[in-house]
Amino acid sequence: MAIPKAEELGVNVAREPSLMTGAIPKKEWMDNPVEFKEGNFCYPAKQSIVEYHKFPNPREWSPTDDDWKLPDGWEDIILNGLKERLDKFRSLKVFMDICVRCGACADKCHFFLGTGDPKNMPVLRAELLRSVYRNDFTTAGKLLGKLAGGRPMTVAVLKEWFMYSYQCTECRRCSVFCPYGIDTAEVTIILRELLHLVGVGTNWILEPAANSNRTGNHMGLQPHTLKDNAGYLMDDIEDITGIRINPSWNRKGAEVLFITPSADVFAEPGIYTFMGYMLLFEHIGLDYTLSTYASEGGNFGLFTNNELMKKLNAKMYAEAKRLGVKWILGGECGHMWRVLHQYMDTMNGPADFLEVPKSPITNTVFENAASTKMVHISEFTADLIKNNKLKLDPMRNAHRTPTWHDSCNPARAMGLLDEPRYILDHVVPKWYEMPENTIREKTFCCGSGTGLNTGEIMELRMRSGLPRANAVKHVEEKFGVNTLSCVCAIDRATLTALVDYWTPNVSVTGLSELVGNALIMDGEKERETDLRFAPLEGMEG
Amino acid sequence: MRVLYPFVAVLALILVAFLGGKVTGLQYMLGVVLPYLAFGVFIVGFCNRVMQWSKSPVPFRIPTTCGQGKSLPWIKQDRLDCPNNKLEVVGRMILEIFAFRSLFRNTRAEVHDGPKLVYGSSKSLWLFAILFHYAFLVIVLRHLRLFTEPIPFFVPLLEMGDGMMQMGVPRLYATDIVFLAAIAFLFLRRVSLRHIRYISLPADYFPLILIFAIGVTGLLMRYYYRVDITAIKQLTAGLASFSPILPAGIHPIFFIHVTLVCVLMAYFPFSKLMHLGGVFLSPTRNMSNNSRSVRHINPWNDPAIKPHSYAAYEDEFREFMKDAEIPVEKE
Amino acid sequence: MGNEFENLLNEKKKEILSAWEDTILGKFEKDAFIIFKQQKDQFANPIGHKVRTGLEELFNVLSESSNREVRTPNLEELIKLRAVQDISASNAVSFVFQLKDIVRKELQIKDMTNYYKDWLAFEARIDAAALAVFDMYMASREQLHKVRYTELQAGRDIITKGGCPSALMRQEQNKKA
Repeated sequence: MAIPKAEELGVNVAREPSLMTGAIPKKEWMDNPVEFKEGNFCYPAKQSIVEYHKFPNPREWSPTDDDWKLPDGWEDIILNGLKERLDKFRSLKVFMDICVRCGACADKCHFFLGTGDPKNMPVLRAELLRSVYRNDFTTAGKLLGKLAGGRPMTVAVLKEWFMYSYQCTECRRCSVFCPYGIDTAEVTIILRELLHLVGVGTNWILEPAANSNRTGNHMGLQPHTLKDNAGYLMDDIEDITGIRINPSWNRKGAEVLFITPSADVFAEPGIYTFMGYMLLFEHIGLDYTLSTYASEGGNFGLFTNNELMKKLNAKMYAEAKRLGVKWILGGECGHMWRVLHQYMDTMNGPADFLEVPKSPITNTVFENAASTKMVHISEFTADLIKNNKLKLDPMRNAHRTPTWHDSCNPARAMGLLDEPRYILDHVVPKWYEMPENTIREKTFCCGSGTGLNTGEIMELRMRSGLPRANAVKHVEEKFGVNTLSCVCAIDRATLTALVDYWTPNVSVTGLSELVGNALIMDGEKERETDLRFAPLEGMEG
Repeated sequence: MRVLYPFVAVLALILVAFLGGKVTGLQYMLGVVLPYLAFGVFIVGFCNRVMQWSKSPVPFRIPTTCGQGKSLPWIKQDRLDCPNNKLEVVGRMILEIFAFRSLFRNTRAEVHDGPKLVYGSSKSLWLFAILFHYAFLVIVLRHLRLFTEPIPFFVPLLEMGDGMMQMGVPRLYATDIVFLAAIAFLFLRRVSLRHIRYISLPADYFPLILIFAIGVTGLLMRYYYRVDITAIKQLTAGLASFSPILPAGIHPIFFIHVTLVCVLMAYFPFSKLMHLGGVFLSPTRNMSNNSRSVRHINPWNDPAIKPHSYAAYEDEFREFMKDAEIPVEKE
Repeated sequence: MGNEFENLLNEKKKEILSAWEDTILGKFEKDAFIIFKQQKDQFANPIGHKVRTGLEELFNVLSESSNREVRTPNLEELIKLRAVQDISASNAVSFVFQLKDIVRKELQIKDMTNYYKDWLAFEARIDAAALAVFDMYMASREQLHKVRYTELQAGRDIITKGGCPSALMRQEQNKKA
C-alpha cells in the first residue's frame, strides 16, 4: 500500500485492493491476467542447470520481467507439444473433453481453500489449458472461438500456466470428488512439460534433478559424504542404544537393496527416520545393502517430464541388477512411491532379474509386488509386527501423542492407508485420527509437494498448507496431540515448517522413527532418550 | 452474455422450427430429413469421438485409489474404491455410472461452528444430477413406444410405474415433472452460485436450455395441445422402419420438439455431453490398482532413455569411493 | 462504557459480526467469498472459520468493560492468517478500525449526545486493540522468519547451493590438474 497523502488521511481505511489481483475483478477469468511479484513464484531454473538437462532455451530470466525471452515460434512449439501429448495420453484427451464444470471439485483443493484465488479451483486450473485446446483442436472452438470457451495461446496465457501449474501439488484430491475422475495432476503434469519446451521451469525442481542424475541423489552428496553422514547417525544410535550398526554400501550379493530419499541421510527430521530403518534392519538381521549410486528414492522427474522421470528412476533397477540383489525395499516417501507403484515397472521393467519379494524373516511373499519387486517399508514392517517378529515397547513413545497424516501419493495413488495405522497401533500407546474429511483418500496435502517446498514462497506454502494445519490444530486442542506422523520425505520437511508456524507445539516424525524408538534391541543399554536425544517419559530427571 | 447467447440460440431454433412446421415442404425436411441427418451425425460423431479417445494409448496405470489397496492378505482391501482386478473395476464403474459414487462422496463434517446447514449444496448436486439423468433415461425409454412394434415389454411397465401418481387424462408422468425440476435446479445452481457461474461457459448453458425446451415442448404436446398421437406414431414408426411417410395435420409444436431433439443429437458428439462416453474411458476410474503385480505396457516407452550409467558414476568418484572403503568395480 | 451501550452492542452482535466478517472475506474474489462465508465446516473452510471465530473473540473483548486481554487464541489464529496473506501490513490490521464504521451504522446512533462518552470510550478501546493486533501481527511475521531460518538451517538449501556439485568438483579437479 502506498504511503497516503495528507488529504487522503480522512478517508476510511477500507479501500485496499483485493488480496489476489489488486481489484475485485468484474471481468471474466480469461480477461484477468496474473501478476508476478516476489513471494508468489518459485525462482526460475538457472541457465547452467537447464543446459545440463539439455532442455531448450536456457537463459537468465525472471517471471517479474515483461519479456520472458521465449524462443521464436514458441506458440507453435507449445501447440505441437500439446498435440503430441494428446496423442500420447488418453487421460489428457478425455479430460480435455468431458468436464461438465459441475463445480464438485471447486472447494476441494487446498490451494483454493488456503488462498481464495478462483484460478486455484481445479476446474479452472484445467480450463487454463482446456481453453487453448478448444481454440486449436476442436471444431467448435475453431468456428466459434471465445463463444465456445476457446482462447488463443498468448504470452499472458503462458504466464498464467506458469503461475498455476506451480500452485498445484498434483495431490489428486479433486480427482476423488470428480464424477468422471478427472485428475488435475494429469493436467498439471502436462502443463509443466509444455512449459519446459520453451525453457520455463523452476530451479528447486531442476537442480535437485540434475544432482540426482549425476551424484545419485537430490542433495548432490558424493559417495564418501553420504557414507560419512550415515556414519554420524550410527554414532548417535550407539550413544542412545549402546549398539553399533555398520550398514553396508554398494555390497554385491546382499539379499535386499534398500532405497530411501536422500534427505533421510542428511536433513532433519528425516535422519531420525533413517535411524529407525537401521535399527529395524539390525533388529531382524536383514541382509541388505545401501547404494551410493542409487541413493535417491525421490524423483523430481515426476515434477518435470516423463522422460526425465524414467531416466532418474532407471538407476534403481540398474543398481539392483549390478549388485545382484533379490528384491528392493523402499523407504518412506510419497511421490517416490507414486513413481514406484504406478510408473516404474512400465517405464523400466520388466525386472526379470529379480525375485518376487519374500520376507526372509516371516517368509511372507509380497504378491502385490510380484512384478515390480519393490516393497514399501510399511508393508514390510506391518508384516513383521503381525508375525510377532519385533520386540516393541510402545511406552518408549509415551512422550508422543501422534496423529496420522496420510500423504497424498500413498493415499490416492497407491491405497496405502491401513498398514501405517497398524504399525502406529503397535509402536505408540495412543494416537488420534484427524477429522474424517481430512484423512485417508480425502487427506489434505502438506501444501508444498511437487517441488514447491522452497523458501522463496514460504507465505504461499503457509496458506496452501492451512487446511492441513487447521485439522492438526483441532486434534492438538481436542486430544493433546503433539506429533504429526507420516510416511513421506517431502512431508517431513514441509510439514515441519507448516506446524512450526501454525501449531508450534507439534513436531513431525516419520513412522519408522517411532518404530526405532520402540524397538527393544538385543544387548542394548537402558534407553534414556529417544532418537532425538529427548528424554523418555520417566527419564526426565 | 454467457447465458444470453445460448438462450437466444435456442429461441432462434424454436422460431425456425415453428415457421418450418407450417410450410408443407419444410415439414418433410424437419420431420424426416433432419431426424435422419441428426441421428446419423449423433451415431457417427459419437463413435468417432470414442475412437479418437481410444486411439490415444494409456501409457501409465493411474487409478485414483479411494480406499485401502490390496496388499497383505490380512489387511482388508476396499474392493470397490480401490479395485485390484477387472471384476472389481466393473463394480467400481457400476457404482460410478449408475449411482454417481464420486459425486455422492460427501465430506461429512464432525465439527460445526455454526448452525447445521452444511453440505446441503454438495448433496443436492448429487441428488438433482441423479434425478435428471434417470428421468431422462426413463423418458427416452418411454419414447420407444413410438418407434417399435411390438412395443418392448418394459415400456408399459415403465409407464405404469411412472404414472402411479394418477392425475387427469392423459396421465401425468412423474418423470416429466422431476425432469423439468431437476434441469431447473441445475440451471439455477449455475446462475446463482457465484463460483459456479464464474466457471460456466455458454457451452454449459446451451444444453441445459435446449433440454429444458425439449421437455417443455414435449409436455405441451401431451397435455396442452393434445396432438394427434396416431399421426405421430405413423411418422416415427415410418422413420424407424426406413419407410418414412408424413401424415397430414401434425401440430407445429411437434416440429419444434423434433427439431430441438435433432439439434441436441447433432450437438452431442461435439460437446461436453460426451461425458456419457468419456466416463467409461477415464483412466483414473477404469483401471485396477495392480501396477506392482501386473506389468502395464506403454506402447511409446522409449528404450533409448538410459540412466546416467554406473560406470560413468564410478569413473567420476572412484578415488573418493576407494578412500571411503566403498566397493568399486575397477580398482 | 455504560451498561446501556454494552447492551446495545450485544443486541446487534450478530449483525455487526457478519458485516465485520464481510470486510475481510469481501476482499476475496466473489467466488471464494461465497464459499468462505457460507461453508460452516471448519475443515472444509479454514479461512472462513478463522475469520469468524477470531473476530467474535475480539468483539467480545471490545464490547465488555472487563480486564480481558486482547490476545485471545482464535484472534491469534486470525492474525497468523493475515500474516501469511499477500497483503501489506497496514492492510492486514485495518479490519480493527473498520469496526467503528460498522458499529455506527448498525446501532444507528442518530442522537450521538446520549452516548457521546460511551462512544468515545469504545473508540479508544478499538484504537488500543488495533495496536495490540499490530503487535500480534509482527510476532507472527517474526515467527515466519524463524520458520524460514530453521528450514535453511536444516540443510536442505544445499540442494540448490550452486551448480551440480559433481560438476563443480570436476571443475576443481581440472583446475588442480
